Amino acid sequence: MSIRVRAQEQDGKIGIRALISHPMDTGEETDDAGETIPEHFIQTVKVERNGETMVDAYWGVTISRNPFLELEFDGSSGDTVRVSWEDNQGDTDSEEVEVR
Amino acid sequence: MISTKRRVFLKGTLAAGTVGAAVGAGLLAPSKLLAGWSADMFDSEGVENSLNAVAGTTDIQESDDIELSAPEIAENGAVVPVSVHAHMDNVEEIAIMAEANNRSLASRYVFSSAATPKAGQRMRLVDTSDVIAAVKADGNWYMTSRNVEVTVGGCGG
Repeated sequence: MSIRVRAQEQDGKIGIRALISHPMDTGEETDDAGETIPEHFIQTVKVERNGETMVDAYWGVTISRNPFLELEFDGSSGDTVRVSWEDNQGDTDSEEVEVR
Repeated sequence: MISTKRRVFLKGTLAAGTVGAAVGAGLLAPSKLLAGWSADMFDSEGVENSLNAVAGTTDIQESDDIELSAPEIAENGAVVPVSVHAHMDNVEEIAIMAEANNRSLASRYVFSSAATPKAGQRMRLVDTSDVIAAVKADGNWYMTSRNVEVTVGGCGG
């Protein structure tokens, strides 16, 4: 699993685009053997700037596979942006980038 | 069903626990209590139940100040780009729902004062659907909606 984050400042605003690799399984599909694939989806995404929470996102199973997220908040180039997530099975991942 | 048990558990906790007492005494606002991922909200079936779970009401004023962007026609319901920008002051939260999805609530975004009240995501639509954006600003809820025609449905919740 991975997160790709782009964070770019323009006119005092940081725009971020994050692409998370995650199956986002809905619990309504079956595998090749006909077994139900259990729900496996990201529930919370936190976006921080220099350690301060900017946005908390909460997701359900209807967010697409390999989720994409676009947000904006105040800040400057050189700031640190951190994107982290946790899913319903307790898996987590995070990525930190410097704002360009 | 797991979701039903969760709801019963939550209600039981509220009724019996000290948290319930705190809410009853007006010490905790419901929105604060429901911060965090909530099965009660995300397992709600249909827009009315989802609005009730998220906003506590379905009597919500339409607003032209909510910019909801989504394609008129989506060829692939598995990946529908939806973005919302609330052109209002003191926006605390944006919730995005789809009428056709069984579990209608797709997402909630809770903003700090430094954040621009907008969010872009990609979501599933099982079928042609109204997409609803609900916005909490200055403690009040507002909404807008847009229809998206889906030609090939995505397997949604």
